[in-house]
Amino acid sequence: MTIAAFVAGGGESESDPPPARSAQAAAAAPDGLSVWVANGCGSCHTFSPANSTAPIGPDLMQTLRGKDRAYVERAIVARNTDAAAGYSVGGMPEDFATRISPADMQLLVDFIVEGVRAQ
Amino acid sequence: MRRVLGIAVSILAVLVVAPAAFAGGWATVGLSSTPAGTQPGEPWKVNMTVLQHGETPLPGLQPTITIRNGDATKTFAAKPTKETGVYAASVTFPTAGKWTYVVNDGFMSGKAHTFPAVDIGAPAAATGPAATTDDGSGGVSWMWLALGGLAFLLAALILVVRNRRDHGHQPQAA
Repeated sequence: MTIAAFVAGGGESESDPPPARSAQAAAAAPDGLSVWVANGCGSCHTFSPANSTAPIGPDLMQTLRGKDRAYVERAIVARNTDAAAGYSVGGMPEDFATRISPADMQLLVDFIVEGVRAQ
Repeated sequence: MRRVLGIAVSILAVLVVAPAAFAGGWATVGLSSTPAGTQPGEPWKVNMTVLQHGETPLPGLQPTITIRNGDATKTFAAKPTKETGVYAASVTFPTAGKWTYVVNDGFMSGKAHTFPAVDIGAPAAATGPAATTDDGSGGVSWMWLALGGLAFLLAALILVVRNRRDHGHQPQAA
């Protein structure tokens, strides 16, 4: 299972690698919420700690309950591993592993894991 | 026969068009910063990156940011930058307080993207305690007490003076 599955995931993808879009945001405000906001996670996922209610991807408070950090990180960067129930594999953007720096990734994973645990 | 054909064409059109629209009609919005730390009246300059399916930069949109605090609502339009799919906005929160902000990506369905509320103008420390105390109701009460005490003293003084004067004007015994 991954948090990465979308019901309406389209088939388009870029042939060129995207620019480093999150670098600027990470430099401006290095915390987990900022990384979440910079990468548009709340545009697809419902996640109450970020006040996001988007229905495109799974509700992270549900699908990540009881999951550890390694699982969450894998779900972000390995889009084709598995999918949450009711969602198809491969819905996550394919370039998060390169778009999000390792330091930002840790902040993001911490933010998500702690948010799920706090519920 | 013609009616049946019409219905069949309609169903086919729905089957073909609807999934395509559903599959392509959403985008993610990433913000270059959050407004945390912004003071009222100061601009929060933010870049919005709009990506179809979280991957493909979308040009030619007119995204907006709407801020809200109770009944107060303001919408700010974003302008395209040189970078495809990136739009710049300058948002000013008019007053301090808890504000919510929502981004409308301007893409097809015009989906609203929500973010955590932000406390604009949150005090960095407890500043200006004297001013807030003076303006509070406690300060006003003390002022009225002092005025009351002063009035009491004045009345007592008048009574004493009048009493002495009355004694002073008493007719002398013959």
